[in-house]
Amino acid sequence: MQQYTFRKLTQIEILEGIKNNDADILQGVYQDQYPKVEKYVLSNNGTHHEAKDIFQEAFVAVWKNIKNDRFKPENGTALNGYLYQIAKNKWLDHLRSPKYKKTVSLENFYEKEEEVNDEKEIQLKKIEVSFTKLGENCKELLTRFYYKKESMSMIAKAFDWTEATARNNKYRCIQRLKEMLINKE
Amino acid sequence: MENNYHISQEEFEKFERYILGSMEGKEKTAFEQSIASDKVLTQKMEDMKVILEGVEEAAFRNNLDQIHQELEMETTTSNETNKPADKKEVINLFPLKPLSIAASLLLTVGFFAWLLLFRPDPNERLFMAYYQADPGLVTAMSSASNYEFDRAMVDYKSAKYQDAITRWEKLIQDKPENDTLQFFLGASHLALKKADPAIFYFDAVATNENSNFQNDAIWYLALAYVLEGKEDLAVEVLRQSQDPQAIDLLKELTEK
Repeated sequence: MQQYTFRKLTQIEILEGIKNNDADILQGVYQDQYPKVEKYVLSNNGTHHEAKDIFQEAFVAVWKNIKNDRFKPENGTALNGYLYQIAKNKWLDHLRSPKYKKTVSLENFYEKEEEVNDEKEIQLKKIEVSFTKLGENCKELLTRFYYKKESMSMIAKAFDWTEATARNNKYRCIQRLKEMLINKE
Repeated sequence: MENNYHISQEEFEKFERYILGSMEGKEKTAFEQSIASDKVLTQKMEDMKVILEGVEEAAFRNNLDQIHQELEMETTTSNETNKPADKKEVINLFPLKPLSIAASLLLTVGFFAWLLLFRPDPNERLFMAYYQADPGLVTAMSSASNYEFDRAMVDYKSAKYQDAITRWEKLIQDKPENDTLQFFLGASHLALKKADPAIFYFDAVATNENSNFQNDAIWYLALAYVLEGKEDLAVEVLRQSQDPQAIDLLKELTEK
């Protein structure tokens, strides 16, 4: 007969899910892990807003490492520990930073303080900013294709376009993004 | 991106296919050869690679923000329990599934309208101040053996509680002692504010020492008693719990 007890997802399934930007798995990991990090930040002089920023930065870092195969789980809960540790380190770095003692404008906290050390990270930040300024259609189109990995035919259907139009629009959106990046420099 | 290269659509799609790994065979070999011998082309490719990576990352960050917003909506009720007197009573009916903000706004507006028209009785108000739906379990719709269970979980997370109940009640006939089923049947009934069946299921889990759901069941059992106006039973149940929320509620009930 069937077993109805909750089948815990294995580390491999979770890692695959994160790698593929699986919405349910990302949400599951987030909801599972965020409260711990929030608790840690709140009990170490932080605010909810800071907890959120720190956690998301840590999540992005973990996501990148998983995508690049830089993270290999050693045991069943390795990922959770890893995420928590990164968040914790980021928070400690923040507390130690000289800027923390002067002004902490939370809105701009990350733009100012994140270690945007190498050129690629700077470029990625710029792309992110430009991306948010794109029109809604472009954002949705690009998100569906590059993030959710939907096929062009699915996307065309969702927008009620032909596939050729969808392809042209994707090119145009990327062009627009490129122009925004060039004009900034 | 310092270099303002123009890239034609054809060229762009070629780069894209290469970057996303969908270029194969001869075309790929030929493309790699042309890159190797052409610095401008290499630069264009690298730039495009960073752009596509950046787009994916930006979309990922957006997704994290969405998840966070949903999480916050869920915890609104529990955070507000710390504040005395008039609590803002927002019940989150869609605890997990991605949903349009519009839908939730509509619900909230509807809720306040309802609140103005028919103010709930004190038991219900107390219940609502503390109640927060259990977020449910992660479902992997791929596993065939758990399909029905997972299917119901999807309903549950989309706040289609009655549908979830119908599915799970079929399953529990074969497994009357399954604590997972008991717990989520209780949770679904409670979400529909049907205290009686909720108590029936939660009571079974709350007394089951081997269940992972025992602590949660104790908390929800107490809430179900509050909803039904059986405060003395709620107090009795809450005394078993060390949960800070439970201690708060216990205080509120005993100080009345």
